[in-house]
Amino acid sequence: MSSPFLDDRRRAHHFLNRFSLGPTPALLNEVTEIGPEKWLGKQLEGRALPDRRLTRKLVKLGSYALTNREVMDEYVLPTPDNLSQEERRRRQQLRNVPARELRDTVLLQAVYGEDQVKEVACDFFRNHFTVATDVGRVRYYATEYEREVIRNRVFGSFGDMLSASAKHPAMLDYLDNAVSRRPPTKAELKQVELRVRQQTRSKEQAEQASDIAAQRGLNENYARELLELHTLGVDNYYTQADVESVARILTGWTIENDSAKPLGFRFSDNMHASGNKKVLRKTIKENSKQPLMEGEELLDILVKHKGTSEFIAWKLCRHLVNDSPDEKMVARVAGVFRKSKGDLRKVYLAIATDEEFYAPRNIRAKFKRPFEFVVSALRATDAEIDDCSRIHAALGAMNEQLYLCKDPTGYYDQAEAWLDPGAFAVRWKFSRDLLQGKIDGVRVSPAIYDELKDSEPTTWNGLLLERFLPSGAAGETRSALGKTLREYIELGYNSHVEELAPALISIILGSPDFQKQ
Amino acid sequence: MTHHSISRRRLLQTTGVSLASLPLASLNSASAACLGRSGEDKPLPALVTIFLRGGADAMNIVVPYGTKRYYDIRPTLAIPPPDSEGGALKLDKKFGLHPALADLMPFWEAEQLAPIVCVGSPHSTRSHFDAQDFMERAAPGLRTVHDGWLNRYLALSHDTRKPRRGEAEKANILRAMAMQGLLPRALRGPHAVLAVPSRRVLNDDATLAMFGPLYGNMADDGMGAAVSTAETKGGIVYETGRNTMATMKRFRAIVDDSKNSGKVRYPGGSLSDKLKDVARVVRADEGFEIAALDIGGWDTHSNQGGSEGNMANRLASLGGSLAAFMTDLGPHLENTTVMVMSEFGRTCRENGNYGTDHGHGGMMLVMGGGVEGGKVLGKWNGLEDDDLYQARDLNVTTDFRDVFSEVLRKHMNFDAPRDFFPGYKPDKIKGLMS
Repeated sequence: MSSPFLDDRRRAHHFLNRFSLGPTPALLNEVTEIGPEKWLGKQLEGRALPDRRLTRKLVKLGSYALTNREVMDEYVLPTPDNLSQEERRRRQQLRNVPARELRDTVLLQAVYGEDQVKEVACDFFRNHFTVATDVGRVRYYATEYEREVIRNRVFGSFGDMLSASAKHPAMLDYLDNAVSRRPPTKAELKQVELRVRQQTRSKEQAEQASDIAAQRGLNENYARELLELHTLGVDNYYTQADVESVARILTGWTIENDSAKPLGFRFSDNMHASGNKKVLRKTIKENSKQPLMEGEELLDILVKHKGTSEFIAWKLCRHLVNDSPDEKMVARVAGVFRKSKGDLRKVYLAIATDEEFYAPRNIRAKFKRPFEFVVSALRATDAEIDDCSRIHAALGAMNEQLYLCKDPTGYYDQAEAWLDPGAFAVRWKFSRDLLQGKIDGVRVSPAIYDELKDSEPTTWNGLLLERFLPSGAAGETRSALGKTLREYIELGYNSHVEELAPALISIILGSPDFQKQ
Repeated sequence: MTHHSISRRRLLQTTGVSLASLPLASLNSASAACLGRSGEDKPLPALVTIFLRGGADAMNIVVPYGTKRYYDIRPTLAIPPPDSEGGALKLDKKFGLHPALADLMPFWEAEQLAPIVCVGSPHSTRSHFDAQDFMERAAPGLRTVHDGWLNRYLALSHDTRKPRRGEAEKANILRAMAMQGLLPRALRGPHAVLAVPSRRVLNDDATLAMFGPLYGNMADDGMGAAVSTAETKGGIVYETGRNTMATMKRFRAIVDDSKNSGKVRYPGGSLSDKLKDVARVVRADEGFEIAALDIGGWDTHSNQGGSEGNMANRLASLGGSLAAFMTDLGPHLENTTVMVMSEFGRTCRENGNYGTDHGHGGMMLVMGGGVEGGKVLGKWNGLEDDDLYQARDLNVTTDFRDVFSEVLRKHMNFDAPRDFFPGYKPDKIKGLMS
């Protein structure tokens, strides 16, 4: 697996650029020493010890470990009319806490987590199975979703994660499947009419109510995204008729409304559409005894479908290797996906050990998404985060706020989606603000300057480049650093050398080289 | 924390830039002079596109109140006919405008607004992302086309358009911009286009000075930070940084110029603020041609509302902001066209959640001084099942590329070459643009 042009350190650096959310000097040393494959093996076994600093920060987030029901009980209090204005405001603000703490959880784990491969996988699947906390009641369900559906399953099987997402209230609400139902029968419509007529004594209102009820029915939103975004890929192997069939099969998959039970999945017989369903050239027979099984059968078909293995392999290679991944590599990874029945750890391993992974065209070929940029900058500077809110604001300015993607596609991971003139300036500002201590609640570690203490400023650029860009920097970056350093020294600010290093590091973090991984 | 901080003054000295060398107003006049755009030249045509992301419900924007079945299949969502409470604003015997768009009616009356019904793509996709990509690249079904139609225009006309007297081509860097942190697909492509960052970022002189040595200096004279498209060792990422520096400078010079501020009252809000800046750039008349804006939130699967409600609130913001914008343009409205579009329309029937699902045919609104407005364009087939696409959605009777082509040809004076719309030869649309 040795590469003719990469020494061990650069090889480790390339590997960590993809299988961590940013190398640190210590991590780079470790992986250089034991080799990427061994380190990856340890990571996939989950043997990394939890970081104490992370644990300390997570325990402060009260909603972090809660279930949906517990979130509702503790954070969603009723607001009856007789409440004082102050108390009403307090309760309304309380409702925003779980989603805010969720964003903190994700960010802190990404920055401090020792399980970096897991963090990379979570980042990928959080976007693959996107839900957004500004839709419906997702903000109360996303805490459990992140923990149970994404984090606890990224080292499991794809089918398991797919099924967990399909049944989780966050997804059921986000893509409307919870309200998708068979159209009502004539008898049911008559009942509605009668009931409203008795209540209102108005024939007109009764007819109107019946008309409205008649419109109730299938909602294709989840069915379409299940095929297009979660499994087969757009227009891959399926048609509009399949979308409608999938919607019919999944009618009745909804959210538990009995407050005595866990706030999770419920199958509603009454909402389920009867009859056989043709889907993907197969027929799913009506299962009137256990209609839930129709949906289970569908998910099983999807997980085993060739299209799903191809789509997930391609997407993971695009994420971890190259925006346009090598087709043969994708085919090999898809083969591993099928053979292992979607065992995700085997799939990650297949990517990391594929000969193509270290091919020259893939080295520093990926452009960091805003989340990757911000997290890698915080990791590189060993930043102490006491308050995440300004970091979330910075991510917002870069159009990638956690759990707030506008589209069910999740955030794109290709350079094309982020590489716009103008968008860059936000990264420059973040780089400077971070080193200037201008991001409230965040400070870089003073230890990043330790190496510089005993050396002449004229040597600093070399030392800093070795630390922050160990695979080298473009000529433009080196000459800009040189120019800044020279001007500083020529202007006679030697007595303020402590002000020079932050400026140089800011330029490095905002350089073209640091935007790539 | 302060131990490592550098004072703003110090930093500027460090990087060889001082604030005194950033006289934005004079930059503006200097660049204006070098562009040679005085009153003797006719101003360049400007195009503002507004994309309603999510598939806006065309039938509740341009309301077919004259089609009886509209009221049968939309029992809770239908907009009542004109002259009833919450009724549509009458356009003609068949159509009315959603009442929340009342602010646009003066432009209809002045014949500067042309709604087009049943516009869309021949491609059958009901995926937002595909439909948006196809429309913004003006290449339905062709996944090999990656540049946006507006960027194609910029790239092609950049090569062919005869430079005006005294116009320095390379300084002409703010031809197009998106009023948001990331470019919409329509503006992606080889021609560098500014995605305008927030004011907090835009006005941070210390940061821009710090990155001057790397990406070109904010304090260079008007020509210094010219756009280069050649790849360097820093590659495309480096070039994007250079373009960022250069175009932000130009944008700031224009919007900060106090001579350029208008007097019209805008309704406020994000869309309104953005359009206010666009108006300043149009009025500056410094070679600007295209602005694009996105508005999200049109994917109304549930609780869409009718005359009031979610969608009505969005429409009110859209109508109010656009009306202020067009008023603010003053005489420049003559050389400005505004297009409002969306990736598709929605199902004709409402669904069971007081909403509508992804559909097919949609609508567009075309506005401006050069528009032959005051009439509803596009063929309307009716709403019986046989009239509908797959018995559920509006048919497409006008290909969206016909509208794009017409606006380019008549308004931008640009005859699209044969492959501009790959595999398609657009039809002319009679009576849209004068």
